[in-house]
Amino acid sequence: MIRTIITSVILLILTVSSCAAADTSLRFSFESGGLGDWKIVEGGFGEIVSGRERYHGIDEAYGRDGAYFLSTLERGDGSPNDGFTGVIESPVFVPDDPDMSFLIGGGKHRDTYIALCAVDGREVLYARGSNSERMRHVEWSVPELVGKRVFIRIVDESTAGWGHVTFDGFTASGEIDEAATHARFSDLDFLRYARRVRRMLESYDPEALHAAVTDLSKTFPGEYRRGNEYLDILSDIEAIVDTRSGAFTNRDRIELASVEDAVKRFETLRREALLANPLVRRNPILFTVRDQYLPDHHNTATIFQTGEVNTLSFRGGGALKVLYPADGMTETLVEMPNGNIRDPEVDFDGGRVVFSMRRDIADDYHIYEVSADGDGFRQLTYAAGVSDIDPLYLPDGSIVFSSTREPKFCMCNKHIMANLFRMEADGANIHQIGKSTLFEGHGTLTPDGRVLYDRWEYVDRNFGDAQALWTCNPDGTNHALYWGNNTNSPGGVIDARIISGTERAICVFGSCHDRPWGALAIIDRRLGLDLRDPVIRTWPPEAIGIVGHGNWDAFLGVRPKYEDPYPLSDTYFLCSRMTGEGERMGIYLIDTFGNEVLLHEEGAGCYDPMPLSPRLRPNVIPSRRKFTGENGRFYVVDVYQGTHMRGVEPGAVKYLRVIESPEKRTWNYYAWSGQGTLWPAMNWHDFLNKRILGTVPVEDDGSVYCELPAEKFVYFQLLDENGMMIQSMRSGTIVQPGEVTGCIGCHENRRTAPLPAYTTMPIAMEKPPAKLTGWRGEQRLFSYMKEVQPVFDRSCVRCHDFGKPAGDRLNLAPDRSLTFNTSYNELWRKSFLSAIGGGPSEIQQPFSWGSHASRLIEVVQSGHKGVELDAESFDRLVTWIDINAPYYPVYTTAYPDNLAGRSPLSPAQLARLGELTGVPFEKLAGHNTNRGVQISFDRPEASPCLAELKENNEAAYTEALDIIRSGSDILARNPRADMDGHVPCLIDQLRLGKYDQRRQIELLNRHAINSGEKLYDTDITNGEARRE
Amino acid sequence: MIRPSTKHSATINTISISILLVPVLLALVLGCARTVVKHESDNAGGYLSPLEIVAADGGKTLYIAAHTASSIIEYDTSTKRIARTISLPEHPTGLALSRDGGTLFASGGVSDGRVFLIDRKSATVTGEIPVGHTPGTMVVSPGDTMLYVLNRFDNSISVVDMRKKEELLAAPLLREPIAADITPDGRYILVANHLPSGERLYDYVTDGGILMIGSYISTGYFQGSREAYASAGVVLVYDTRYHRLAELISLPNGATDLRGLTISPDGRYAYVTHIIGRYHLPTTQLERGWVSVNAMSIIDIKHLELVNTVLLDDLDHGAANPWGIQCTQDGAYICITHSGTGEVSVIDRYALHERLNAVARGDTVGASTSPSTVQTDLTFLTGIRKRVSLNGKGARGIAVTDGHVYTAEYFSDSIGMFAIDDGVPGAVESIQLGPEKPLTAERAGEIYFHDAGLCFQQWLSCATCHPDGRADALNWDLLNDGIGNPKNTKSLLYSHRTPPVMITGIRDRAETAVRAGFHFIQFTAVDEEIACALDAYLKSLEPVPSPYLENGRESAAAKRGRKVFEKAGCADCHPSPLFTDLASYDVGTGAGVDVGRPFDTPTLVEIWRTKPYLADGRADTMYDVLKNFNQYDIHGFTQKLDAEEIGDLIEYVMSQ
Repeated sequence: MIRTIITSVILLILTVSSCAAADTSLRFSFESGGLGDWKIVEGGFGEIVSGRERYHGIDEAYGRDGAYFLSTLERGDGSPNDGFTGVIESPVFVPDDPDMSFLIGGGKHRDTYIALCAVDGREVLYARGSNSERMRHVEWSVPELVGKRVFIRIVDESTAGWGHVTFDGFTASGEIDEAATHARFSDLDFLRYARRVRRMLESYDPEALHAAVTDLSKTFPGEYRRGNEYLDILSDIEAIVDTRSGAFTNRDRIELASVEDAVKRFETLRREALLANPLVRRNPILFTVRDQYLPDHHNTATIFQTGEVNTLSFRGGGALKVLYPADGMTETLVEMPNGNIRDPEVDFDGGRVVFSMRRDIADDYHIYEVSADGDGFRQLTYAAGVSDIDPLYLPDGSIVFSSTREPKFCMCNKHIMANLFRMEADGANIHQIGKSTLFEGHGTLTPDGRVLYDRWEYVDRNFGDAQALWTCNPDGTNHALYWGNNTNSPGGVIDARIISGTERAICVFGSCHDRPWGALAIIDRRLGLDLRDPVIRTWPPEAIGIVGHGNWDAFLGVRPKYEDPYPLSDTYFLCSRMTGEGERMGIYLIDTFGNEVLLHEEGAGCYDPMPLSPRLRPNVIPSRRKFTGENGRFYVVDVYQGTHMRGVEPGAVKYLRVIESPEKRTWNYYAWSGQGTLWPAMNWHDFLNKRILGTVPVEDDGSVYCELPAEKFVYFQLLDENGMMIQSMRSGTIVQPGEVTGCIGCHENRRTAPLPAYTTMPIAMEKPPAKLTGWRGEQRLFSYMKEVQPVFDRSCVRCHDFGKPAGDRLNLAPDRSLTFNTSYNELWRKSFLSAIGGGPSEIQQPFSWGSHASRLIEVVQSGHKGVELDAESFDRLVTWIDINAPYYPVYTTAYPDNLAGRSPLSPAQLARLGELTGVPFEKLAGHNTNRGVQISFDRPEASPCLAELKENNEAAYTEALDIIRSGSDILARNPRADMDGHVPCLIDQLRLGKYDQRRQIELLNRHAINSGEKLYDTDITNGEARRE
Repeated sequence: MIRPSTKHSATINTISISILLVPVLLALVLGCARTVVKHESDNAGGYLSPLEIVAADGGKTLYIAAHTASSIIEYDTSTKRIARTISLPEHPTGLALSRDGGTLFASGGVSDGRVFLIDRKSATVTGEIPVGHTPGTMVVSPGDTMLYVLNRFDNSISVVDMRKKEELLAAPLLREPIAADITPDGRYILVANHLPSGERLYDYVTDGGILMIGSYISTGYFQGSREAYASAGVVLVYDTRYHRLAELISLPNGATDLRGLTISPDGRYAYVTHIIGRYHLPTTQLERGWVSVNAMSIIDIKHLELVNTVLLDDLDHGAANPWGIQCTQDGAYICITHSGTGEVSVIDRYALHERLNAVARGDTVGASTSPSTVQTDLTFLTGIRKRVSLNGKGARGIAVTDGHVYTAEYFSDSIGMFAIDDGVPGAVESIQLGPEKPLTAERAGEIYFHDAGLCFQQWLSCATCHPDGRADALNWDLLNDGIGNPKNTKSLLYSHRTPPVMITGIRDRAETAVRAGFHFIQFTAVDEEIACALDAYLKSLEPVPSPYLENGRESAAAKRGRKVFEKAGCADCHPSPLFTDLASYDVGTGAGVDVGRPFDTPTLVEIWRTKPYLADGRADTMYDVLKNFNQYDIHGFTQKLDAEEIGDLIEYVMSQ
């Protein structure tokens, strides 16, 4: 707490301090190549003073001062190692001017920092790196320390990524106090001892313990009886610590020893007093033992499924165990030396445990069950080549879990994704209940019987922070946002459980590019569905300051990391937490008073703690869906009711458009860099292909009622009388077959009830539901080349073409190039569209993007050069822009091994073409590095990359032209996905085949449900039910 | 003198004049004899059923109305013992204490409603004063000069002169007056009417031109015409000086099931508990109060106007069936029982008004961005209200005194109590008032019927739309007959005896509908045992004698009407004794997608109680049913009946 306050004071000082040049009589720049009069007082490093010029891995300069700088990263052999830890201190000096400055680089962890210390070792001011090698200039102004003895301490206690500090060029005005320096360094043993005690004091929080003991005494008067005794001991300890705290400055070993002893007694007392909590003591605690998952691209990438991109990252060695808190004994229920056990959940009677297990790297995760006494082990799911994880019991005995049974991949990378599935208690009739396009995980049961899960899904928005908490009914109806879908930081709101009897939930605030851990947070959605206000507290407490700041990875630096929170009450929680030893996790008991006590650690690490005890069985929510039919129905009471409808006049909305965002079923190894990476390229900036399902009328009172195809991930847009988008949803929803569901409005405030009864029924509901009949023809995937380019061909290309002045300003030619075509590249790159791409997390105001904000449409509407578009052409343009200006209709590719997965030219051909033309083609495969179309495969001679060669080097020109022409030939033989006749590559076909096979199995299971039969994984081979 | 339109005459029976507010002298003729009719329940299980509770002697003594036991229990909180039990000849429905503390008043009886005067010292009934049909809530004037008694089923208030110990007059009120409180100066009585009135009150004019009320308060929703409709419970302000209506205060549209009303100790505000049905929405979900919310309305007494309505539910957790309400003596907290969830809400009253003022100033509070959004804000009370879970079942009446909250726990024969110390509720106790009795199936069913714990997120119980097993006077768009065609809630009386059920007859019998109700309205699957208990309870419902009866018998007009009933063909489809032939007909009352759709013939028993009428509640009065919505004589031959015949026919039907 004190540190937090000081840090904020420093920030203030840093921002207001001027750059006044001080007299630099003091300078630490390590130009001797050694530490000089500095000392390593703890730990050990490799080459602590480095002469390294450029970063490791990347060819960039450190920005050091002179030839040498201090670094805790370097090994003697010049390789980097974040594993070094220790403390380095400067000589003691006395500043005669408040200003000091220095360079700092490296990590921004809590335990990688530079501190200005008072001579007694108290840390006064801090600076940290910014997870960057580039050293940045820091200025301190400390008028209160002028004339006082101070020194610099460099601390690197982190072994994580960016677990190092670099430091150089410290300048200040003042004098070194040789005597004080000698006194400090001559007693290094004492210093180390003092630091150790100080560190112990960091977790010395008698107030928190006092509060917890008082609370437990009051809450459990019968069971928690020694409260007063604990408080007496606590006040003794406090008296000792308070009276002996001078030991640090007096250098009194004996006094310090009594402080140390008191703090140890405190730790013992705390452990005893908190473990006496009946909520902890009453029941055994179930937990798993495993290594933390290896890092990958996203917190959902922990499955390492067989045959997928990251299979080899699987680490074996796991167990399902029980801890008896009363005596600390443990018992093993299941052990897998080469496999892993994860995601256990206890049934309502406390008698059984369901979990996910993989026997070894060649196996896949399946769902298993075991009795609490270790008997009754049984396997429930068996499907090969898919992973079943995160199971949970429903009140009727059935089981919901996450699975890759619908094999599809995240749109910004290559990783297998999972949805929610449900099965009967014995593993029969597995069917899909979640259908969002990326990942649905960490399902838990809410006290009211719904499934609370984290969902990663993005429509027309960035990938990084689009992971939030959602709920659905156990039958897959009524998927609804719970919390945090429009919060920029944390990037991952995951792994939540409702705190029973409250309106709060505890969850992990993690990062996009991290494991599924991070800070823990209690959120109260009554206070809001996003950002800082609804966050009641976090662990660690200071993490609350990051909420809403930075981006999806802002929580990467949080230490310690927490995982798997489990509420014992609204005050006490079990969780998995870093023990301080690398990435190792132990089981902790934490409370809202601030106490954190290690209950147990062993092996590679401990996860998933939860009481192995009976718990309340919620009411059963009956099913509202069918397993036949293809439609559900959806209504909106009043589209004008919403938080983001500023400036929309009543009556302005005439239509509601329904658009599907299909899942991505294939991937390749070469990416286009949009808002994230797209494997292969799909669009300039965002990730999705689109299918317009239809447009239905919005009645005068704002009501809509329509049929929706079941299990399509769809989103809605409001259109005006010209068919131009007013507002758009940037998330998706589904209906189940037979489900009737609806919204009050668009972006309605989810903290409010519907308005009191209107004076009339919604008009739309007095008629049969409107049907979705496609857009300008039947429902189909949207292809820019088919739907939009013909408009330009007809009306624009005669001027806006290669070799025409208007074409220089904006080339609207149809010519296909390496990744997209010419006009698409031009319109996006030159910002004519105002499509939102992979837009920000915040909900946008109406008219703020899309055709109403588009330069292109403005030009068209202003009667540009007498060009008059017919109504259909106009509609095609605005519709395309409003669905976020996509390009490719499909994720499949004909060219998996070429640039962006789209180039007909091979890497070798492209490299040669690059040599000939001087154009760095690889670097152009990204929206922010692209310099415009360089190649036309339709008119090779018109390719801009040839323009100079033609004049200067005919041989090269001819060779280059031949390469481009060969590209044209390749395209003709093997049409790209933006051409008629496109055939997916072989690997895509295999993945599509697996998708179809899994879909067949899904249908077989539904058939079984409808027929009142039972179908198990083991009944199915090769996508067909085995008939016996 | 205010003269209402003639449409009211048919709805007010025991008061034989067709004006809403009557002069004192005329009222004196009303002391007519009443026939004793036994209450519906004869307490087969021997239960106590604490319904109301009052505190005396600064909280030392509690009086508890043991409804089904026909007794008053005197409980001593200092010794924690039952001091005495006072037997009554009727099931007590209301309790009040005289201001001097000497007398306890208990109301009871049905068509023979009476107030029992109980001498507190001797704990004996010293007298009784006849009042109206089913008297309940009573309020005492300052100085103990007058006792005002709400007569629920003849929609009137009895003004009892306490010096003479007799009813001075009975003034008509609106539908089912159920709760009231009196301003500290004694000038006004604010009366909560249980159900939306069903009266079209657009033509009251005062004799002196002082009062003009243009409210349009209708239960009916005329689906065919799309004309404006509204259906809201009202709070009626009764002026004790002039014995007349001073104001009608409409609650938000959809407000129904009014149960409790209290005036703050400083006399500035009245608080009313009720439900708001979101009946314009299909019942596709319960989350976020989609179907109904539980609310408290706040009335400014100085201006006699609605300040606002706040929701008592939390975002994911309904606070179903608010009932009793009272402020702490210092006015700092408002305490409300939630009979559906077995809780007491303790609301910081000053903080509440600060928030209301802030919103009125234009500030944002919770999710409220303007005063009109408060009544949809499920987070408005976040942080200023504590929900206290009781140990007993069925909390109804509440008494708050000396920092303690006491509740009558109807279904567990107990009282709940806890202290409020600086806003922090202390430990909750439940004190059993008698030996625990085994539950009969009927009693178990009655408990389930009122238990929102059987509902997803506790938003509502069966009793939300079917208060007392009857109907909430609203239309609901249930999904069993399509969407966009809301139907008026039916009373459950006789539903098991008159299959099929639902207006469309879509359920073959009531048993099916009971189970479907949980599945499709409460969104839970319940055990067959629970469903069977509910069947038993609903089968045990008995009709309340009609207030149209005279001395327990049909009036002369009704007797004449019986013949008209035959002549007009009514009896063909509504034959006695069930008054239904259990068949479905299209009598031309379907609208929209329901045009031409046959509807199940409803029983006419207790129809005096269940307006509005017809499938979509379009008819506010029986006259509308017979004349205005039967233009082509499809629904009986009524068009040629003369005014007297129609009057007699109505009298007959309403007597059932």
